[in-house]
Amino acid sequence: MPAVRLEKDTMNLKTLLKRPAVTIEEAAPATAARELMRRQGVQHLPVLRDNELVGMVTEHDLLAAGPSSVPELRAYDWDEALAGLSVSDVMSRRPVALTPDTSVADAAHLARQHRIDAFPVVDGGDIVGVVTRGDLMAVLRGVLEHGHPTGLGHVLIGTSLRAGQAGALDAALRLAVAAGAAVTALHVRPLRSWLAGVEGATAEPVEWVERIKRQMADKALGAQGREGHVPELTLEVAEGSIVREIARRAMELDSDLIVVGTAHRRGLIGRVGKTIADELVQVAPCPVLAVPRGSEGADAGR
Amino acid sequence: MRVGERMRRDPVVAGPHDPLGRARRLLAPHGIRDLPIVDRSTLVGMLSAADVALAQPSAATTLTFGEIHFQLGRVPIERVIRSDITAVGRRTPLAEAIRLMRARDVAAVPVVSGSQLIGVLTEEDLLELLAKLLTPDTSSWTPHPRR
Repeated sequence: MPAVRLEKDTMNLKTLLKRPAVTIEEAAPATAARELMRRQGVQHLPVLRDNELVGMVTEHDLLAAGPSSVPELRAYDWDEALAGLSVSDVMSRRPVALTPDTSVADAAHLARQHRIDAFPVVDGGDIVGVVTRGDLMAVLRGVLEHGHPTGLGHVLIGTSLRAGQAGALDAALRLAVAAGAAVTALHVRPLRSWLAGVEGATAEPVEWVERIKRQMADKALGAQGREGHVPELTLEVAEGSIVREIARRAMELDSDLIVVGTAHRRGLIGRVGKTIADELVQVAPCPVLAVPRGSEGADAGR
Repeated sequence: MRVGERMRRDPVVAGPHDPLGRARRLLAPHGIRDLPIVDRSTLVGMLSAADVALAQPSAATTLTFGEIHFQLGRVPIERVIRSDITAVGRRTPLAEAIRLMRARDVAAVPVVSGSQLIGVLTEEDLLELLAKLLTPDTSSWTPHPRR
C-alpha cells in the first residue's frame, strides 16, 4: 500500500515537478546545450521544434558525440565539424512523454523497461517538467528511510482566509495525516496594508494577528475534523511579499512541501497570468503543490 | 532493507587489460551500463557507459567504422576507468547506497567483501523495487510512522 494517497490511488509525477522544464531548440548548437545544462544544473533537456517536443538530449549524448578522452582517438576528431553539431544531431528522437497524472510506479517501470534516464512531462501541449531517474531514486530513498515516498517531514501551507480556499488546507492536512508530517499554516498579510496601519496604530498589528490566528485555528480545526488529526500543527502570521515570505519560511523550517491554493486561475503553468504558485516554484526550496479552487469537496457538504 | 537483498550476485565483469572494444560489446547488447573491472577477483574499478561514451571518437571523427573498431581494440580498459572506487558492503542499508550513488552520479555500485567483488547494485534493480513498493496490490510494504 502506498504511504501517501493523493487524489488517485498512487503517488503521481505531479508531486515531483520541482520547477519548469529547461528546454532547448533542436537547431541550437550542441555546445549551447552543454552550457545550458551546466548553468541550470540539469543533465536532460527536452528538445523543441516550433514549440513541439521532438526529442531529448542528455549529458550522455553530448559526451558520446564530443571529443574522445583517449589521445590517439582524439587526434582524429575533426574540430570544425564538431563545433558545427546541432542539438538535433545528437538528441534521441520520439521521447516517451508522461503526464503529471502518471504514477511514480509506472514511471519507474517504464524507465527500467526502456532504459530511459529522463522523461519529459507534458500537460496538454505544454512541457511542465522533467522527471529523472534521480528523482525516482529520491522517492525510493524516502520510502526506505521514512516509510513514505516523499520523505515528507514538514508541510508548509500558505493559507488564505478567503472563502473557497479551504481546498489547500484540506489537501495539505490530508497529506500530512497520511505521512505523519508536521504542519505549519502560514498566513501572509501583504505589506501595503501593513504600511497603511503604521501611522499611530501600534496596537493594531497585535490585534489583527490574534484575529487572523483565531480564524486560522477555526479553519484548521474544521479541516482536522474532516481529514484526521495532524501530529503537530503550528499557526503563523507574517507580513510582506506573500511569495517571498512563504519561500523564506519554507527555507527556515526545512519544509519538504509547500501547499498553496491557486485562486481562480489555471494550475501550475497556467497561460493566463501568474499565480502565487507560479512565482513560488521559481524561488521555493522544495516542491510546491498547487491545489485548484473547487477541489474542496468536503466543503460542499457543510 | 540492505544491499545484500537487492544486489546482483553474478555480474558480468571485465579485466583491466581487456580492450575497450570488448567492454563495448559487453555493455550495449546486454543493457548493462556499468561493468566491474576485476583483476584476479579483486575489484580494481568500474567502467561506466559514460566512460565508454567519453572514450569513443566524436561524432565528427575522420576515422571509418573499421578504424574505430581497430583503435578501440588497442586501448585497454584501465586507461579510461576512474581510479577511485566507491563500493558498498552486503550489510549497507539500501537508502545509504542510493545516497552514495546519487552523490557520485553513478548508476551502479560494486558490492565487496574485503577487496573481493561479491555483487553489483544497479539502478535497474532499484527501479524495479520502487515500482513494486508503490504498486498497491503486489506490495507487502507497510509504512511505519515517522516520529
